[in-house]
Amino acid sequence: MSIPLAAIDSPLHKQAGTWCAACRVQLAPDARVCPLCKGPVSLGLSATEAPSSFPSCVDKRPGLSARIAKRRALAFAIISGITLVPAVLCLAIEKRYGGVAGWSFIVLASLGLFWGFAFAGIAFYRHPLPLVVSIPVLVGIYLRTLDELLGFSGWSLSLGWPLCAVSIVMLLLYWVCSQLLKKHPGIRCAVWFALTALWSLGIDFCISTFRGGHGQLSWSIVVASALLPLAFGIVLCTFVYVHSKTLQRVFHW
Amino acid sequence: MSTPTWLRLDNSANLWPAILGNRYTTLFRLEARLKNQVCLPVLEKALHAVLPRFPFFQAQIRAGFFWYSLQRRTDFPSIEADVVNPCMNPKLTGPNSWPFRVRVWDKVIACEFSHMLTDGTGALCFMRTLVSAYLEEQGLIPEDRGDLPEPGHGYQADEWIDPTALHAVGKMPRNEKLDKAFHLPGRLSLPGKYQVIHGLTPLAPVLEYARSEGLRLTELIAALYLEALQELALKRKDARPQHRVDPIRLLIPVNLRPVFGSRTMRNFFAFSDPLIDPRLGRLDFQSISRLVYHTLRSQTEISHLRKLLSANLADETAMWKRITPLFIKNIAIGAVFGLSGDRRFSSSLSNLGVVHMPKSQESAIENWRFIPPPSSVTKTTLSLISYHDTLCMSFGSLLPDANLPCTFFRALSSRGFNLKVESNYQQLEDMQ
Repeated sequence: MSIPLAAIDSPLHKQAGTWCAACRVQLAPDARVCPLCKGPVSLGLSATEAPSSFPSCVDKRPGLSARIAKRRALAFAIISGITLVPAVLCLAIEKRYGGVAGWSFIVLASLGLFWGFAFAGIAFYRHPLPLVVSIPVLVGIYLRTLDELLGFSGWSLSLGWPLCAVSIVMLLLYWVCSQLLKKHPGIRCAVWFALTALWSLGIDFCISTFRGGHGQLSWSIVVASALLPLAFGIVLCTFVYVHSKTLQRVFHW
Repeated sequence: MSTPTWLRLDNSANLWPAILGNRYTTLFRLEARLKNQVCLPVLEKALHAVLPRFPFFQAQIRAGFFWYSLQRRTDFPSIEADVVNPCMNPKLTGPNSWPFRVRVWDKVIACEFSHMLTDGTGALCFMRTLVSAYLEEQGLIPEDRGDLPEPGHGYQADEWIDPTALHAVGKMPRNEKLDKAFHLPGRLSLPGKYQVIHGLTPLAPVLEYARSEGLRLTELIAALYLEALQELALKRKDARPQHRVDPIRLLIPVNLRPVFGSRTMRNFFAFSDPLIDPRLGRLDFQSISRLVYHTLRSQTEISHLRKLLSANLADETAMWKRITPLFIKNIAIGAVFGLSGDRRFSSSLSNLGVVHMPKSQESAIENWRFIPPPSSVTKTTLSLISYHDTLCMSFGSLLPDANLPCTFFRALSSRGFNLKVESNYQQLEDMQ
């Protein structure tokens, strides 16, 4: 098996023996496939020099996506187990002591909300937009369920859902402005302040409509009147500060 | 002499299993580029002959209740096909794992070692023995083996004793806390990609230049490297004046074997950490080289090294650490390393020195290369190895750009050194 170095040096030797053209190594004479790459063997090397200083073969990560999927499935199973056990226990206890569709369903709905949050966290891992939007959606469903269970004359439709809808819209706007204004942190900050003011107006409007039958803004005007000038000031500073030596002197930190 | 079936990990190695990750693989690579294509069956034979001489390389790393340990194996690792992205995707712990792997392609014999097993000097000793045994099988019998271990002979017990415990002395002051250092900006490449750039240059002119500056080779390269890092730090400071620029601190491992007369195969190094602060303004090369010169010499004093060893040993032997279960220790070590590990250094520079082979085998080897382990914090690291009249400087980088290697190589070529640069960037770009 051993081949003298002097023999390997000769070009004649390169044409003899069993070689792997991909790995460019000499194999045992009886080899049928290359033990390294499982590729076919050849009876000689076509080129004396390798085309590059590095091999072309890539060490791919073995099953990283499979590993992540496995971890997610495990997390999902744990969360499901954590919620399922108390849910079944509550149902069993209520049934044992004669209750009919009472408190255990409220516990069940709360556990469902917890499960939903956990599921959203696992499913939308590293996808902030669907993750954030799913939270008000889940809360809306939860409120509607509570409303049905407790017989609170439909407050979830007139208050809960509008609040959730406002939150979803505002979260979408936050995300859009964050994406669009990535390179302008000052303006982004100002827009966030403005959106927060708008959010508070929306919440106030929903609450007053629910309570009085017509929209009447109260506390949100105070919040907006505090935040909007702040936003305006930030925009002003963003444009003016970089050019004004006086502002820079006064506000340096 | 019966070989024990298991061994404690050494003092430095205890850290690594806790911080293993997709990018933090702890693997470094030594490769010998021969003049002829490798014969696989002969290399397998050589590996089987050499491994019993290094019994705790023929081992797997297993978790215990309190610590990890090296457990001996009776089988041999299979040789793998070499790849374009080295030091990635290993299985280093657990059953059926190997803390090192042998790879082969064309004229290259390469070994990738985990730092859990040994350091660069230990790995080089194994690699030299393997290549020598391979060439011997090819008919190049060495007349004088020099300091090379002989395959087939029994191992030396003192090669496997943890040297830190052996050379530490009593209670010593704790190591100083170091602040966060400057890190190269930029997003990391995807896990699994490791960019490598080799720069090859004739050794003699570099040594001559170093001598003319009154420096040693490592000091010269460290000064040039710090200058390149300073260039990038100042460029960043100019581009983003509102951002803080941290000091630039280089990690330079110091081989402790010659200092303490040890022949160990385990990790046995301390580190020196020359620092420059770009906040104080641009330093010229002369000032940086003076700074490196004094730092390296003062930090390689035996009393200082003993202090480092003792402090490291005290860290390991504290009672509360010993009785803490491994899974808690792993979490704690990971957290502490995140706060005060590589964060303290901007990059690292490791010089393995000149590789010596038996006279009759020297001509069969083109050159040696040494690829540093990847670090997701310092992002780019540099290592040096010399063979015959060639100095090979290898950058390992987790960044998709090559700003630092380019700046460094430009600084070298501006001093009149001829450079041949090879990289795997193109192949990695094609990789999906």
